[in-house]
Amino acid sequence: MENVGYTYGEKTPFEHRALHQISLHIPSGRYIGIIGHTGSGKSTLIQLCNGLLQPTQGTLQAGEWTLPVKKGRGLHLLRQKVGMAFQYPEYQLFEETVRKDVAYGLDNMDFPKELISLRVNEALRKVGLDPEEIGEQSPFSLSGGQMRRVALAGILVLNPEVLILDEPTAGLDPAGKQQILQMIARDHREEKRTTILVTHSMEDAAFYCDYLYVLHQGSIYLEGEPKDVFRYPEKIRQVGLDLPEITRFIMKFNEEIKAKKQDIPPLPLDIFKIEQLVEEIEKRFARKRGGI
Amino acid sequence: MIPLIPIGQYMAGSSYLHRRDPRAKFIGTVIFLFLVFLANTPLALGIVAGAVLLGILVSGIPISYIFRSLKPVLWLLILTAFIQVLTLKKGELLLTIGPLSIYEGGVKEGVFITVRVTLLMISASLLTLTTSPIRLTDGLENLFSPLKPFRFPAHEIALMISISLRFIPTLWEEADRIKKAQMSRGANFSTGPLQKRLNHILSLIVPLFVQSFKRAEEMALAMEARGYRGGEGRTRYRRLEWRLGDTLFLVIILLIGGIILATRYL
Repeated sequence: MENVGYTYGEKTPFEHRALHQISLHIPSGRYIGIIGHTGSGKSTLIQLCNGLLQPTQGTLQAGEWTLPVKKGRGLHLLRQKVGMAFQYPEYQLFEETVRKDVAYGLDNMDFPKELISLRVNEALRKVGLDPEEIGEQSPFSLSGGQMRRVALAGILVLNPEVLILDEPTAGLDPAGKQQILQMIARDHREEKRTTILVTHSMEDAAFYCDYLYVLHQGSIYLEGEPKDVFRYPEKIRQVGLDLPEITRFIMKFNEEIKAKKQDIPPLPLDIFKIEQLVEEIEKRFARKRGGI
Repeated sequence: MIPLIPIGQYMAGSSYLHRRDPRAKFIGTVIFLFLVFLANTPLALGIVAGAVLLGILVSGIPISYIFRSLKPVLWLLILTAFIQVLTLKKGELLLTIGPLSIYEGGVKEGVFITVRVTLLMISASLLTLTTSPIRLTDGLENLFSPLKPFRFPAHEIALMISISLRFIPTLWEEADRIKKAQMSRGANFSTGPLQKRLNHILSLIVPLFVQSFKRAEEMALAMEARGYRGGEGRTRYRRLEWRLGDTLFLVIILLIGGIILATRYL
């Protein structure tokens, strides 16, 4: 992506510039996180990635496609490679049965019938649903969390090379949130799928992603691995975001031991897993006790 | 997001027209529409056109923006003018092309009709451009409230209008989002065999309906939870106030009407 800009409603009284000169390169197989405040341009950025929006400035290279293209020709082929789950993807369900709805994307690709049914079962199992049990039910009879998983199955079934998720956990309870995120992480590991996660949650971004982009007012504000991005708490707070809880804890912890002049080495900032944190703390206190 | 069509879109402002009471503007516009049809001489129509132009200038809305809202009816205008020119056989014969003959009266009527419809459109859009939807429905409710004893549901109708107006942009956004979601699943809305395309359109309409019903239900609940029980005994936050300027506005329009009636007897 080079110097990409996007302006909504160009040349009307309601013109609004959403992105400024963004340049970034996403190597395949990565798990990318995009974080930013509401209105920072996250949604616009990801819609550019599968050609739903075409850049009004600059060019974008996605696989063998270079955007902008004229009249959107062949863009549906790009969209088969780049799967996109919007916020509240359950709103896109419309068929009579779960199975039919998941198959919709494959139907559009003129996939052979026998293969479709196989792939649909596979996708439903992947999101943790039993195709035998709910396959013939109406999607509207399911619970909110189940509907969301059906909708995600409808995107995974296409087996895209790149999967883009716009806040896939919005409005779910904590358990449902973790289930979805773990499922996405597993899918990323097993299929080596390039995954782009748009999120408001610093915890999720730090925990799951290996590279982060922080957007602010349509530009890239910070980028890097989670431990580098969250090294600058002032900078992050300046754009209305906060650090992950665990990082805040580590900083507080380090401050305390410094203030009390205790003989404990500070905790490293690149810990984002609870188990690892527990282990490090235990190590430190064990050493201290051992020393006495 | 696809930008909305500019017809009837309110443009905030503080001009003389913006500040008028919606009731005055509504009555004024209705009288004015009659005047457009009363004016049957070039002079009278010229006066009406001059008044419309004055209205545009006073409102401070760019003329180009107003003409843009005429675009959708442009073909209708051309078609009616065409039919008038070709079918009305009055006055002197001007031109004959094959089986078609054009008469002087036809041309005159054609021009008249076009100018009239254009003026109608502009004055109606001046009303909606300078009045926010909420004030417009408030005004309508107030104007129709004398009919309440005759079981005319003025408040309910006004409420329905304001709710619909409120949700047009929401629905539009939602349709746009669902369309993009289905496009990401390979839906192609513009090409392909008809049967497939119908299925794609279905994939847009079903979620939109599901959402709308859900929203309507939630909204009804929210209104009841806040104690809504119809228009009976309801007080208002926004009060309509009839000022001297509003009376003046109607007097000006009636004056224009008087001049036009006078020209008929000149």
